[in-house]
Formats: sequence, structure tokens, C-alpha cells
Amino acid sequence: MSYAETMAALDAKREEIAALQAQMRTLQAAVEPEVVQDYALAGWNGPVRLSELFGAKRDLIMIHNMGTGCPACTMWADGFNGVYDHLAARAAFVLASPNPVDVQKKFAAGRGWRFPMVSYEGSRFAEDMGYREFGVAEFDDKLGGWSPGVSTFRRDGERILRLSNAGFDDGDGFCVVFNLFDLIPDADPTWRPQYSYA
Amino acid sequence: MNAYAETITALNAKREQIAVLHAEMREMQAKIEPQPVEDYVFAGPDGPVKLSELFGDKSDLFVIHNMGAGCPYCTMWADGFNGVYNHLADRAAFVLTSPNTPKVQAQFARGRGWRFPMVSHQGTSFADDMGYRKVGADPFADKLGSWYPGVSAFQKRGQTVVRVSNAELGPRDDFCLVWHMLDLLPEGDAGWEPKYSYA
Repeated sequence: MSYAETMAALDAKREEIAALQAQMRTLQAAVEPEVVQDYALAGWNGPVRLSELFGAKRDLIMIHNMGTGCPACTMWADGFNGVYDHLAARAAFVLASPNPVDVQKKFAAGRGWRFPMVSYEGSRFAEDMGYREFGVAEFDDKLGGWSPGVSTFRRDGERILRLSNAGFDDGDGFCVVFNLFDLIPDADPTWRPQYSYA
Repeated sequence: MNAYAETITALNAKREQIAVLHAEMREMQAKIEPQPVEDYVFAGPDGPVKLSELFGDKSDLFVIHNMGAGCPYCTMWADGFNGVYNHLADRAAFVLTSPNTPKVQAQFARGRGWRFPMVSHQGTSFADDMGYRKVGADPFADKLGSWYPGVSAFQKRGQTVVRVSNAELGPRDDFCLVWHMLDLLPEGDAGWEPKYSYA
């Protein structure tokens, strides 16, 4: 296949992906939201309720981050940081992790993160949302059984509804790095994210 | 299973289908017949710089075809690349090209906190030759000089530079996470559009 033919074939696959994404939007538009508790979390200025994380927005995007022990979660968060102001114009955006707030503050300062963070500490929030599960991955178990993903919520009067959730994995739409690397022909990509590459 | 869980299961099934398509794309990409390209000369911050010099000590190079400071969409994509720049730069060289002069680029990059290198393709046929200038294809693009947004991947093979892939950039592509995040809301972007700032 010539270069141009391969590009045309790749673009045809991208069209198929776009069609699947359109079906996903249809599914998401018809979701029957899930009522959730107004969880008490640990915020940077003291205890904070899930309902308080919405700020002036109706919707909230909440990242389930595995904490400072996970370089991949850190890379996903670096990506969110890059487009944080764009996301925050549409919905509140908060990253939750199992680390105590002091650890979060130090780590966020080191990476230049601008988004708000809260700690799961002392809550069942991650478990209830499906982002803590032991026995799935050895690496996750070692860090405390946390798993990475995102949940979206809506404030509806006194109630809080969950609208969607998704796990994170290499090649998902929530991190551009692996998708860019896929443009390079490479039979055995062994590259893995690290905290730094000095 | 409750109705919420059923929707999430259905969404995850679609994600699996997308992952299968991505795997097929990797197979196609692995068999690419690369395209030889000229060693274009760009305007860099320190004077003229050749395409072959943009690789640094890497054998792979990503070049972002950015429409310039006039495009808030291109700016958002670049904000995203900036967030993960150190990760990208570990695997391959990463450079953003635009029609702006190096002086305008430097000023704009400073304002946004961009850390990646930039070069200007003004006065070269690079963007045209790579397929990222299309006159008459889009009124917004025509107003800015008919530049088109995309990414090209190059490899250095001995003394020659070849192109190994390219893709256009657009909403919901694999190269900007914002819409994928907003599509987790039932109304999606709800009329939201990228801006330079939202104050």
C-alpha cells in the first residue's frame, strides 16, 4: 500500500471511530442518572461535601486518581492540567485521590497543577463509585486497590446525580500521548510514563 | 442491573470497539510505506533551522501543523500538548509549526506558558506540501490564510527524512481530550466552544 493509500485507510478507521462516538453521545443523552450520597471528603481548606465541589456550575467532572504512587495517573493529570481552563468553562473539574491533602498540595506544586483536588481519606466514595477494587491488578493492589477513571455528576436541587463514569487505559480519549505515539510505526512499544525523564 | 449500569456497560462496549479499531490502525501504521520529504528550512527563534535538525537526538519527530495565533481551537490543542510535553518529548522530538513569525510565536507562547519548541513555516511550501493548506475548503481557515490543523510524524533514516503518518486535527479526534470529557455529560459541549480565556 502506498503512503496515500494507508492514510486513506487510517482516515476510514477514524470515521468508524467517529460513528461509534456519535452512538455513545446518543447513549449518554438518554442515561438514567444514579442518585449518590453527598459524600464528605477532605478538601484543601478542611472537610468538604461533594455538593460543594460544583462551585457555580451545574455539572462536575471528578477524576479518580490513584495518588502520587502512579506515574500513569500523573501523566493523565498533566494532560488535564494543560486544558484545565477549557474544561472548567463548561463544568466544575476536581481531581480526587487517596493521598492526604498535605501530600496532594506538595505533589501538585511540584507538577504545576492548577485544578482543585480533594482526598478520599475517611470516605467510601471511591469504593462506592467503583474505583477501588482489590484483586484486579497487582500494581493497583500495591497502591491500595484504587483504580483510575472519571465520574460526572449533576446537582439537581438537593440531590446529586451521577451521569457517567469511565475507566482510564492506554489509548483512551482522555490522554493524547499514546494516541500520538500510535502515529509512529513501532511493533513493540515499550515506552511507559515516568514522573520525569532527566 | 439498573438502568444507569446498563448505559455504562453499553458505553464501555463501544469503547472496546474503538480499542479494536485503534489496534487495526496500529497494524496498518506498522506497514507504512514512508513518504520521502525535502529537508525544509524553517524560521526558528535562533535563525533558519532545517527539518532534519528538529529531531535533536531522537529518531522520531512529531510536527504539529498549527494555524497560528488567530485560531482558538488550535490554541486549545496546543494547550493540551503542552500539559504532556515532557512525556511526548521522551519518546520523540515534538515541534509546533505555524505561519506566525518566530517573534509572534515567542510572545504568544510566553502568554500561554507553552514549553515546546516552535518554528515558522512562513515563506516555505512545507504546510502546502504536507497537505495542511487548503484554499477554499473552509471560510474560517481562509480568513486565517487557508492553513489547516494537523499532525505529521517523521523519521530520520540515515541522511533522509521520511514522513510516516499524518492526521487532521478536529473536535473528538484522538489528540485533544476535551470533547471526550464533555461527552460524559448528557448534553455534551452544550454550545461550549474553545476560547483563549474565559474570564
